Amino acid sequence: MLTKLKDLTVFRKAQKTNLYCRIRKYLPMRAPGFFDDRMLIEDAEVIKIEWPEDIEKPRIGIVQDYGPYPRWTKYCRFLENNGLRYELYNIHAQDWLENAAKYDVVIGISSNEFSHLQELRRKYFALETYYGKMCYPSTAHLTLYEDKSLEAYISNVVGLPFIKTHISHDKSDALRIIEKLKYPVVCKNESSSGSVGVELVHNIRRAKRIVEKAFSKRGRSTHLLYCRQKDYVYFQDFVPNDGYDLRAIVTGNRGFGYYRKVLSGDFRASGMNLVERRGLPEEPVRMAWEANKVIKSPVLVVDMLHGLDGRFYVIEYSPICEVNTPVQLQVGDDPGAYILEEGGSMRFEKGRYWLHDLALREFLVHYYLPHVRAQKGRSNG
Amino acid sequence: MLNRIMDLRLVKRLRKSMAFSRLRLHFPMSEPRSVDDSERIGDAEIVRIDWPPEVPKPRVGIVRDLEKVPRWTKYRRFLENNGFPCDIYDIHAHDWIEKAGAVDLVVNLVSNEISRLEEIRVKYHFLETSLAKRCYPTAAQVLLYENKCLEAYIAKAHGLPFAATHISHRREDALAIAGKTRYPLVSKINHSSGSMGVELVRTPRRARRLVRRAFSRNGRSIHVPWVRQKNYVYFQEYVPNDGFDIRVILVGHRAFGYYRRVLEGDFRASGMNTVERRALPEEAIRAALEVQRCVRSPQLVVDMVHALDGRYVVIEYSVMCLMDRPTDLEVDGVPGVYVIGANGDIRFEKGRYWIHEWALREFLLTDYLPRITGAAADARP
Repeated sequence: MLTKLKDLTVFRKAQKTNLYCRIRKYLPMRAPGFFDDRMLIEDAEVIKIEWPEDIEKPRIGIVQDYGPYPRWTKYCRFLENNGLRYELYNIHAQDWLENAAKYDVVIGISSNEFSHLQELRRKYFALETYYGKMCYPSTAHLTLYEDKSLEAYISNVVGLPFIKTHISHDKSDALRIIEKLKYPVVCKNESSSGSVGVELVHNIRRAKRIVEKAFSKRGRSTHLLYCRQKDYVYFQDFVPNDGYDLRAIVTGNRGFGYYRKVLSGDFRASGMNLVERRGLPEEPVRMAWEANKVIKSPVLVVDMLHGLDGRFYVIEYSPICEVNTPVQLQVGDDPGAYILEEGGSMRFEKGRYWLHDLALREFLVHYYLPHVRAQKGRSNG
Repeated sequence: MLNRIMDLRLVKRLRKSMAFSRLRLHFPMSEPRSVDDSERIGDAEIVRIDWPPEVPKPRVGIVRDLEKVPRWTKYRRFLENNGFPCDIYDIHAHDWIEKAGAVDLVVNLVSNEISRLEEIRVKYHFLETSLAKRCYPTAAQVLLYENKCLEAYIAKAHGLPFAATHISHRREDALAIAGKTRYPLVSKINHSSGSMGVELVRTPRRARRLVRRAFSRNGRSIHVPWVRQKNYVYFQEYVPNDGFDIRVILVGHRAFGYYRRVLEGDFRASGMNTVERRALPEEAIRAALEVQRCVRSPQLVVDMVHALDGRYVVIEYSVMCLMDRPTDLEVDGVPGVYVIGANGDIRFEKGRYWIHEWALREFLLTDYLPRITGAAADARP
């Protein structure tokens, strides 16, 4: 009954409003906990890594993440399959610094909640800068994760066809911007996901109200009770499209992805649970690979849409994502991955993969090992 | 009359309460704006820099701050006195990325307000990593500024003489700390200055209450209404002391500083307007130098107390601070500076200086120039 209720369009739309999210916090809910799904994840390919004999295997601390689709269990599986030493690492406790001494590498994040991200950004920065540890994701990628403004700034240098975005931290500048916008536009909070806090602004009057509130002494309320939108606005042009968001995911030379249908009567697809798995056009997957040449993340998730003018536009991108199945790409009935060949051609290969396995492998091979080699080179003079 | 009321002890204490700060926002107050005091700052020594003729001088973009006694006018004075091309750079406006093309170096912070620091943290990170610009303070230094947790982590990493600090991001762990710590202890929020959000916790009961609130869904209210203390606690041991905070400000091999008397009947000195300018003890300067060896900031502000057992114990440090006069150090009524010799000896030298000018000079010589000339082997974080 509850599931059917939750599937109603009107309910789905309501769930994405800031007001609903705030009210929901006053009602009973389970405290965030760790799920162990290791018994349920064996139906995917085993990812192997060829570890060079001249380099010692690192001691790895895994930060457990909250929620029903954990990353940490996949990391455990990958490390066990490859004979790499690991322990679960409680990074939240007061003795996290003493315990960090046991590891060479720390991996994982707790959640995408703002307070957790703020905690980890500082801790990973301290670990990397003052303790000489390597972290996955790195501080730079954690800074980018769930920061929509930074995504937009970086898109300027990446050369992505990012939808035109108007961000201002100055009230009078913001008021000038909204005079020139072509409505409707999409308004977003910096730190949110799954369409929460994303709204369509139909006219200048509404935009002005948003600016006034965001630059007021108290700021503008968001989906969080403990953090408000203060001293900035984020408006993105609304691009008429074919009714789907397309998510392209790349890690190393493998590409995945799927479609998410826009909710009927709405303009949002993210977080609406309307996934369609089918083959992707080449162009968006190649765009994601191109972008990752600059962003240099072990995994990159690019959300885009197909405009009515036939072009693909990027809405958002992220160096981290949550996955709930080892089938992140399905062509016909076959799960698999697109492989980017050395010559630049792209082909489909069957297989079921936990994305986190591949991403961790990518981190170790292309980030950790070169770092250790460079260190060895320096110490050898 | 108003000034006399503001100087009353009771009013001073009241103003440092979080409830007062939040209530105050409901009453009329002037909008923050940048002040130009260029006409009044000419009575300080001119700080000179020897710039190598073969290296082009950087084009500097100065960000205007919103302080009553601003920094930006001192930066501009220094740059103009030394023939650096400089201009005001509006970093808040929507076209800040396009405008960044006209500068090599961006200097200054807007204010120490959370929303402004978050803006600058992200923008400086982008300028440095994506546009290869230099910023002073650097993105890493902005991350450290007003971030008490990170200060404590770094202090621990290097075994600095920092007051014992217990930080936890997990409720059960925080409750365990509250159960076994010696009282009273000092509770602080991560981001605040001038004693705001700093309180003495006398009993485990009070500490547990604080923990429960901080780890509640809403978090714990603080001095500003747009963000709350969420999912962390910061407890620092209370160090019985001689009733003064000592502030040592280091810039290169120069040291400045003063005392701040603890308000009668209170335990806090910062932000109470109780400054006493007199000679600093050598041990205090040496303790600050120990911090600087790890933090390596062009300017470092170290706050410490002189414990009753004779130790100098650091309670906080910062990469920047407000200065309202060119006489931050006075010895027997004579303004000046301590100069630290290559052999470690410390001598007093007369003079009136705007410390911001020395700090920018230090940044240019020890960070900007080595990077430009490729001698950045010992680059700072």
